[in-house]
Amino acid sequence: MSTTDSSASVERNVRVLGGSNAQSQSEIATAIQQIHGVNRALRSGRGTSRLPVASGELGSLYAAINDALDAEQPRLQVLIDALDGLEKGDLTRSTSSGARGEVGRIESKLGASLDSLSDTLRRVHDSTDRIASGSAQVASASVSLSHGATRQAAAIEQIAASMDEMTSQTTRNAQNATEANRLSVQASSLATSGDAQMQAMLGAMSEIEEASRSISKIIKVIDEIAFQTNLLALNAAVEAARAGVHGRGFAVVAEEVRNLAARSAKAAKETTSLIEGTVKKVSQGMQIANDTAGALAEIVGSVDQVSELVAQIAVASSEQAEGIIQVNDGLRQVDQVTQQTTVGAEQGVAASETLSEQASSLMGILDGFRLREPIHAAEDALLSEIPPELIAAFQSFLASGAGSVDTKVKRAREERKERSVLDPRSIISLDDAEFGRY
Amino acid sequence: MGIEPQVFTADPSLVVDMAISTAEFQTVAGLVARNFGIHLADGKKAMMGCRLVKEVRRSGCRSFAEFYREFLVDPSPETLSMLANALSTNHTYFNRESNHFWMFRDEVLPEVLRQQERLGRRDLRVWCAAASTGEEPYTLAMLIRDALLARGPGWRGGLLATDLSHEALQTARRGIYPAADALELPNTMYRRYFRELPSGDAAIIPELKADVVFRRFNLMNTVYPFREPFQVVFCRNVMIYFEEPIKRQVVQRIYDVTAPGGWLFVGHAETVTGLGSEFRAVRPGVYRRVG
Ligand SMILES: C[S@@+](CC[C@H](N)C(=O)[O-])C[C@H]1O[C@@H](n2cnc3c(N)ncnc32)[C@H](O)[C@@H]1O
Repeated sequence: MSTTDSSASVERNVRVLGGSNAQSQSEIATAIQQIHGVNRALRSGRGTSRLPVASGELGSLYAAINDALDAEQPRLQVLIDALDGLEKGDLTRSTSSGARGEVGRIESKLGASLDSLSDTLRRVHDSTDRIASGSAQVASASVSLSHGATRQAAAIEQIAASMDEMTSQTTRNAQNATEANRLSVQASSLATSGDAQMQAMLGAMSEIEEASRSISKIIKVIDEIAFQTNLLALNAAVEAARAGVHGRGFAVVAEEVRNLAARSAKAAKETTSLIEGTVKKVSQGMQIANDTAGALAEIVGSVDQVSELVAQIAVASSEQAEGIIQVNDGLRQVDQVTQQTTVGAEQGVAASETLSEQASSLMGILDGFRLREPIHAAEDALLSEIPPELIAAFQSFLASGAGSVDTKVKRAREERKERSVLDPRSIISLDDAEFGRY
Repeated sequence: MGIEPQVFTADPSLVVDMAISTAEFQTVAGLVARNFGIHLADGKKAMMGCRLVKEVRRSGCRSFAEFYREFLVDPSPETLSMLANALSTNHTYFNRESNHFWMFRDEVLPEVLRQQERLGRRDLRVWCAAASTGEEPYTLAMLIRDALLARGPGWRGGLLATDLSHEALQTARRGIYPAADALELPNTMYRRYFRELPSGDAAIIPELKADVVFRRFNLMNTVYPFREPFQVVFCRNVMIYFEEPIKRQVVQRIYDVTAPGGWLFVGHAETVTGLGSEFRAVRPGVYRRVG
């Protein structure tokens, strides 16, 4: 509103009030000016602006207006305080002054807004809490995951080393099997050729037997000849005796012939018993040779079996080698996963660290707020919103010794252990004494 | 490999009784944990038996119990050394977890070399702390040699390679591998750094062998006696055998001998996070010392 407008309306008002004289008219004009002034001041935000103290009618009018203004003031002040508080994050300030009308409605709207804002912030606080504890869980799980992965890596290496050892043993087995096979084939062929020689020997021996029999016959003939000769010699001796003196020389010859015949007979007898012995020995020898041939045949059979077994060993060894390759492949895959696990766990630790930092800065912000008491049992409502399994998980997490006191005790115990383990005097040094330029 | 005469144990003197009692197992496991950090869980009794049967046989003992009484109750340094050989797991192969090698070649080495040049130095310090049978350190030596070739003379390259197991180190020093294993490496590397033997094996060339200083070093030592910090440390797949308190200490000692901003490589299944030392994760299994 412009000044000219306002002075024009003052004059109009004075006329309407219909002042009787000039003095009262000017008083009224002044009053109206004053009231306008206060009005303007109030509008422009100076809420404490009041009409001056005056005497007379005007004075009481001023006082009445001032009273009315004063009565409104505390109500507004409550609103101002509440909003002031809101600005500073204090949501607890009262918003009810008992005002009615427009101000009253504003008050109740503001109150409801502050209630619901408090409620929201409380939920945020709660969620932040849960994020913080969740990220602590993630952190501890990640750490144990990475410990597990490291231990697993050690086990994998130890298995891999055993597999290396097994590989060389298997290779050696296969080589030995091949060599054994070669030797048994050799033995088999030796035994076979031994058998053939044995057969040849048997042939030779039966020829000997045959020859012995022929010799026996011949000796029988010789023996008979000796017998005849003896008879002839006897006859000759008789004839010589009959011839008397003239036959004496002849008798001597006949005696010599008889002697020779007797020696022949004796030699023939001896030869016969020798030949008999030979025949017996030959037949014994043939028995032995037959047995040997049987044994050699058995050896050949066994050697074949050995070859068979050795071949099986060779096959098994190569299958084993195959199997070892597969185990090694599997180990490499497990190794890969272990490495990825470690990387993942490390990322998990980092992520949970970030998360808990964020959560704690959010907590810091939230701590700047003073919240209204929940109207209804809002907290119970919140708790009942958390799934029971989450609560259970959290409780078991707390019970698992992740609590700070337990951890401290554990640390201290570990440190003690560490000291006793790492006592340098108890470590026998096996090391080189110098390290070149290093 | 020649064929060893195999005895099918008809000879009873070759059969040894490898039954291990719980108390014996625990004593040996304790010995191994205390001295080498290697943790043998209760389920590893059978493994212990398998790993020690050859030693028991070689000693002439007829049973593990006898061997235990004779050697393990009060172990000599030789016995401990034998245990380190037998009970450490030296499993490794060429190009294992290979992205670490390519990262070493493409990111780590160039940065370290540039930094050295800026400082007016030409001193590369790399440590392979669980070298086992040599596959890993030789691969690193190849990558270092390739990188330095392009940078002109005056550089001190190569690397220190250590392990607990004397036996593994002997294999490493020999530098002879089945060709099929060496062929896991890219062809160019294979052709440049191996010589094929008539046996079909592949031998590391002498120049490369000379680049690697092999030494025995137990990570359980409380003092890491190195002259200067390392820019790069490979310590892969050994701490998987350690329990957390030991791991924590080993990581701290490695931290202490790593140059600021230096790199630590562990196995892909391992993590250094949460062990207290100030290593920042860069990639799976790759960390840098902070500050
Ligand atoms: C599985 S191998 C790892 C080889 C290689 N770094 C890789 O990743 O393929 C583990 C090695 O650690 C060694 N080792 C075990 N305990 C050790 C210790 N306390 N100090 C040094 N080396 C150890 C073992 O001897 C074995 O050679």
